[in-house]
Amino acid sequence: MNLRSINKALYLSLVSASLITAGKALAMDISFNETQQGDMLSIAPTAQCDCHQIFLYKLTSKKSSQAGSSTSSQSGRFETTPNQVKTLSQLSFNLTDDTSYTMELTVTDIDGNTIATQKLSFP
Amino acid sequence: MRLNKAIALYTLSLSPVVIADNFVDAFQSGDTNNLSTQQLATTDATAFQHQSGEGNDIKLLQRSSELSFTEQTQIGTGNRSTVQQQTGEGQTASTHQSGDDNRAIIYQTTSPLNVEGHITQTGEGNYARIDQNTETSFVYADIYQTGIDNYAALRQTGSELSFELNQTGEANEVYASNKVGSFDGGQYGNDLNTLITQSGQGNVLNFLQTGEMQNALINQSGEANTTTLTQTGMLSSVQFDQSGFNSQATIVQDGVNNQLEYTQSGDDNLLTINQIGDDNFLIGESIGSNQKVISNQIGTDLIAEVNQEEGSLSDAIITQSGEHNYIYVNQAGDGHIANVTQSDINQNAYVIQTGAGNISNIVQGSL
Repeated sequence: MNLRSINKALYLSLVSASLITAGKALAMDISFNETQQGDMLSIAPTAQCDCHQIFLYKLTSKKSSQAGSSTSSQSGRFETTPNQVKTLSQLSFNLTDDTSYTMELTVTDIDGNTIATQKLSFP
Repeated sequence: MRLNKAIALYTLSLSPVVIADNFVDAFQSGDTNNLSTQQLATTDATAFQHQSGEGNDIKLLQRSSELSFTEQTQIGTGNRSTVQQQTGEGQTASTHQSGDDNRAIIYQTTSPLNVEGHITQTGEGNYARIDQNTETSFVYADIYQTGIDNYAALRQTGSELSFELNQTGEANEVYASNKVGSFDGGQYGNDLNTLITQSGQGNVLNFLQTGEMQNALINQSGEANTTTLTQTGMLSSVQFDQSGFNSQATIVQDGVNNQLEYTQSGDDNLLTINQIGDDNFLIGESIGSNQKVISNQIGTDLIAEVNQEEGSLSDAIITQSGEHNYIYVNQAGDGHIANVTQSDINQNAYVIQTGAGNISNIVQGSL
């Protein structure tokens, strides 16, 4: 099984969302930047906004296999700079033939309003 | 050099006394004096020995006595005190030294019940050792040292053993471990209790407990301190608290049903934990930046809960080998790394990271 190709197939391309803040629309692009080395899959959520602003993010993941299950939550605040991609965190886990996982990235503004969300799952 | 003769209020100097209710109270002042007392085959033997000056020497032997009691006081530098209590039930020995480069040793052997040894030292470069090789019950020792470059050693065998140590100052050392030096130190038996407090800089603690139902409470505060604690046996517990900077600790628990609770506060500290056996449990928190916790557990039904808070750039490297284990890692701050590894099956891992630039690596399954 080519896990990397499957992951790539499941890769959801950039998701955009918009928010009206002070009468001005903000475009936020978020994505999962995936790399794989051997059986280890690394996922680094990224965000890009054509603005200079502080946001909050939360990445949750659940993984299960015959070996067991793991739950990961990474959250925090970040500041965007126009035309710069911001890497928010990094999560890595090993893949086996029976591995399944789901992942969700949510970005909100400091008031808690959702700016963008993205999900990734396998299979 | 002027030598003062002994001022002894009662009998002394190598004269054995073989009657009940013995009482000795001796004083010496001056330098390089010797004060030696033997109380043999008595009950209710009591000996007080006092010296002031330099290079003085006290020796006491209480043998075959019940309810032996002795107290030594030495004021000055380069003094020596050696107490031996043998065979009787209810032995109590106390030695107090103030000054530098003093040495106090208490040997208590073969008592069937109730043994106490106490040493207090104030100054620099002092040495205290309590050796309670009793194979009996209700054994207690304490050592209090204030100053720098002091050294404390302990050996206890039996059951219901208790040890309390308090060191304040710099570069003080405790050796009660058979892994360090030639002294075969530590606590050996069942129902062991230890309370150790070290405050200052550059202090070193080496401690060993072997048996069942061990309990160690350790508090180290200051900078660049080091702790090595080993427990072998079952039903043991450790409460470890280290505060300061650049300190490190290694805690080993080899047995089943053991538990460890820890707190490390400050920056740049390192904690290494090894738990070998089933049904072991560890929980703790690191407060500060650049803290590193390395935990390795081998067995089944293991629990590891690691919290790193109020700082940045801390690492949690948590490994479990066996089945049906659980890991929980909580990191708050920026730039933390969580490496979680669980081999075998039926594992659970939870990693929570709050902040920016954190990295989580989770590996589960046969490695």
